[in-house]
Amino acid sequence: MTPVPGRPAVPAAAARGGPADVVYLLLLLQAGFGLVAMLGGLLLMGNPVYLLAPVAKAVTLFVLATKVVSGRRWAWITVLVLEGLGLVGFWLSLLGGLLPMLTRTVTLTGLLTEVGIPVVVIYFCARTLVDWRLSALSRGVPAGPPAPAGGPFPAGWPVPAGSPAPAGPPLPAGWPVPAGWFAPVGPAQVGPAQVGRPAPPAQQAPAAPPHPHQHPHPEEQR
Amino acid sequence: MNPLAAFFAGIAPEHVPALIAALLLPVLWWSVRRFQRTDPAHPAAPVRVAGSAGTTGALWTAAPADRPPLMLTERWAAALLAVSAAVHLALPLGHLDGPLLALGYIAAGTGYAWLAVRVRQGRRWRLPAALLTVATLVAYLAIAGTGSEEPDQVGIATALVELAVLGLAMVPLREPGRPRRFARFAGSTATVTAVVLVGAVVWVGSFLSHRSTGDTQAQLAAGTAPAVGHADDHAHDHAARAQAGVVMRPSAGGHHPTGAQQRAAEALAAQTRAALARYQSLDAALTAGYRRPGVRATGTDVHLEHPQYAKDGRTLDPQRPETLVYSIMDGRATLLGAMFMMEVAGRAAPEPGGPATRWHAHNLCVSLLPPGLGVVSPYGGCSAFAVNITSPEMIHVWVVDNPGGPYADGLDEKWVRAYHAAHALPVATR
Repeated sequence: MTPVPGRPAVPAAAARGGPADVVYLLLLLQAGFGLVAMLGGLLLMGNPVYLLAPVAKAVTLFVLATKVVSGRRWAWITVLVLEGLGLVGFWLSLLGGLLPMLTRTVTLTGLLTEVGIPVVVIYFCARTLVDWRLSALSRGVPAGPPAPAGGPFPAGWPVPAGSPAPAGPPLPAGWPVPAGWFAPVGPAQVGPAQVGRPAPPAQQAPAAPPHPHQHPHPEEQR
Repeated sequence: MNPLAAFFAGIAPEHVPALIAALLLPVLWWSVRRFQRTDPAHPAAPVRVAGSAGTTGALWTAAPADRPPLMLTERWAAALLAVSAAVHLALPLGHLDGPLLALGYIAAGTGYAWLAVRVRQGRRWRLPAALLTVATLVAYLAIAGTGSEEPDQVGIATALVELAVLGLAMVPLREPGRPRRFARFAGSTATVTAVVLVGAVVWVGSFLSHRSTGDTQAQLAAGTAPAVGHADDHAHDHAARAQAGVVMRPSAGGHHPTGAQQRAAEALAAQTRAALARYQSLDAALTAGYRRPGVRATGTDVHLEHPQYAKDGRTLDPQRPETLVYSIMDGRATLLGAMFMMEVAGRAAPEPGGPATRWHAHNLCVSLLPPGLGVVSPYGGCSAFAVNITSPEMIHVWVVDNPGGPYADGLDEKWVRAYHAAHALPVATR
């Protein structure tokens, strides 16, 4: 896929080994968690109708995972919304635990699967969508109202090539998590040509061929 | 049991060092990076090392200069492998089961650490990581799935980390001009299958441990359990730490009831048996105000609740049990026992018999679509369109001569059927 002037490019998040692949794995794990939980309903109710929703959710997560890796923007948005709803459900159940006749048991694994993983997925989705939008802005694509001066995002956030540098001092390395845990989406990584490992710092990266899984943005397809 | 107590009840004491090691790992990582931030030969010049996002140092040996920086998935693999290494290397600190098991933990931990270093160095890691994680998971399931050691939150969380490593190792990355669709699909399916298998086996292991605890508790109530310090310590310590359906109150004090507790437990059982004599007939219970449930109204363990007794503010009153348990089959019913229940969830109940009279709660999934109930999974969640709730604490007191005694967690279904066939009374009220 070649970059289309004036069109937003697939963000670096969809690049090989990038956030898309991490989100893909986390969605797979969530599909598995849902199927295990399904056994609990089946055990107690003994009715196959309780298979439907968990299986449908697992299939949906799998399809979304493949589309996220393909760089589909709608898939990233859908995942963001789904994970957000899951987090809201967790907090609602905590609130429900305040009722006198009920409580809510929070376990270590529950925290990991119901809070930790959704938060990580939401983080990657939000970053990717922000990157997408900034990329669109930098290419002159009208994508909504213009960003406020200094950018709508905190200093230190990834800025695609061509974007004006955000105001404010850069954040220290390792904030808010150790540097390297989440791949920075910098100017060198933005654009559809970024497929595979980033180039070594000492040498110039050769132009990589477009990835077959990197579909153009729906706006590009039109 | 309040939520904080329930959270810590899920962590086995022998696994606390491993959990601390895992929690300290990021601190260690950060500290080492701080020390390696600058090149010792050129303190003013920052070091550019593969695997780091910017100009900071790497935790382990630097990769060759010509090697490109690590991909995000590789960084995640390294971090997850390091967590698993820390947990396994710290396990012998709490697990004093024997030198062989300790050696196994150390070997697994060393293997994970070595693999983490390999990932950081950009070397091949997927196949050995997949093999090691499968071997570790199988070993864990062999121990936990057979009820030898009850699964706890640290064990399940470590299994989760290893499942993530397994997924990263088994799902091949896309390559330019080579979609590898089949390989990716196969790897993805294998990952989901592994997650389901591990969860199911952990669940089975948790139930097996729970059942063996019921036997031990019966022995405790009867005063025939071996003394503390014998080989059954693990069974004594069981607290349903997977917290998948059952949340047990941890034993307060010792593992054995004192003489006074023993007498109190026996007195409560005798009082309950005497008080429930008037409810031998199901019709008598219904006349007294007990109500049959809307679902599962027949079977070997039908719970009839008394709405007034559930809100009368009395706790553990044999004259006013909140729930009666019957076996109702073939138009006949058999009274099995009572279930006392706390009025307010999260509030600790009295334990007159100490460890012989342990209370428990149920963490359930209330499904909205379709309406129904489920059990919280070992991964701590519910299925789609379901919310997680926990009931108030409860305790069963059986008034039949079941093998587990009056305070067994449950009754064997086969035994109930045989007892029902011999003792059931006809039901007039339908």
